[in-house]
Amino acid sequence: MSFQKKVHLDKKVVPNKKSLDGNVETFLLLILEESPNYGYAIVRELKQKTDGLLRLGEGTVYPVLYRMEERGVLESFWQEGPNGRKRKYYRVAQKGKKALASNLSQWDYLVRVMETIRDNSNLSLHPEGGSV
Amino acid sequence: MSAALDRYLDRVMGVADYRDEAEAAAVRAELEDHLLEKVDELKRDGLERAEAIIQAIEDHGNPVVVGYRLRKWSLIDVRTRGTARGVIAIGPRAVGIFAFGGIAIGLFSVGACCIGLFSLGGFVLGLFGFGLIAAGGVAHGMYVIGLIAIGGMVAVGVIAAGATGIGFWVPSTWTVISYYSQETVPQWLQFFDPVIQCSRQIPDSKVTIIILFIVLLIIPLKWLQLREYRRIKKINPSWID
Repeated sequence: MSFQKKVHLDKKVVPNKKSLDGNVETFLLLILEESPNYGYAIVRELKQKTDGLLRLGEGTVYPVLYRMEERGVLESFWQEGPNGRKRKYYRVAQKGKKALASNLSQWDYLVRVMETIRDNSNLSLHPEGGSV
Repeated sequence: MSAALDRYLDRVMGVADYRDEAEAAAVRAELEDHLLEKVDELKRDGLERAEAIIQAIEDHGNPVVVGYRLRKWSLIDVRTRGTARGVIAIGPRAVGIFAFGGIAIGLFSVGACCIGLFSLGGFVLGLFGFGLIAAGGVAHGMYVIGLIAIGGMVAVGVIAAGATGIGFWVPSTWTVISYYSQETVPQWLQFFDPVIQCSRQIPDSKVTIIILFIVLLIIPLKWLQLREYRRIKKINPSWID
């Protein structure tokens, strides 16, 4: 599962906050699936890879990480960082890998359904919201 | 570590209200590491240290919001923003065994909109629901729908007692749409008759609901808000707005 490419999003589209909130865990799993990482680096990577469109309050990522850890989706370990400070790293646990695979297949399914409905309908949406 | 960052973290941890000191220290250390790295990065981008600290705090989020989100399930959770979660939960949204709030979900829920086993409020859904608009197993209120619906204005249910009743058996006196008449109502439905009669003993359901609402919502809410106010004041009096 790779998340190497930067996501190119249409900046005119305002993301629905609820749908973003509901998928924060999947975003975090995708980032941590690449390699174990610590809070600040996770936030930074999330911003970079989504071109800054995902505006998460930096402090609000931690409660999500803690809950994922409590549920056994993530594991954590402390390690000394380059600046000498102790730093908490997170990695995806076995349960998290299963959750990520399930979330992604659900996404794929949803996208396929959307595409099928759109392709079969007479309307095609113009990028600026109008129909052509 | 700057005084501003310390104050910010004090506030976050004060609101988060961790009982376990070791856990609180670990969370604080992690947030502190985040903020210090952010400050370093902003300084590398050309900001003065003071500016970088302000920016880092701003980007990290409102300390009350962050603190509330860090809170765990607890015995009593009172909050002014977000969703309270606890055995007793009080907040704009509340989830708990006893939930009081604008939107309340719990075994016993009281609020403007509530869902629960026993629910009391404005819009209510519950096994036993009392409200202005109520739905559920036994629903009592002004406009109700349920298996046993007892309504001041409109009742819709298997047994529907109300000014206007629609159901299988409608022991009402005014406008009635009833499958069974009083004479032909089956025995199994008559079994619930005492419930209907008992509810009719309540002199005025509107007044009863309002009184129960005040006793069950306003008084505990005020008491627990005062408790939270005192706790915050004890940590730092300047946090009291």
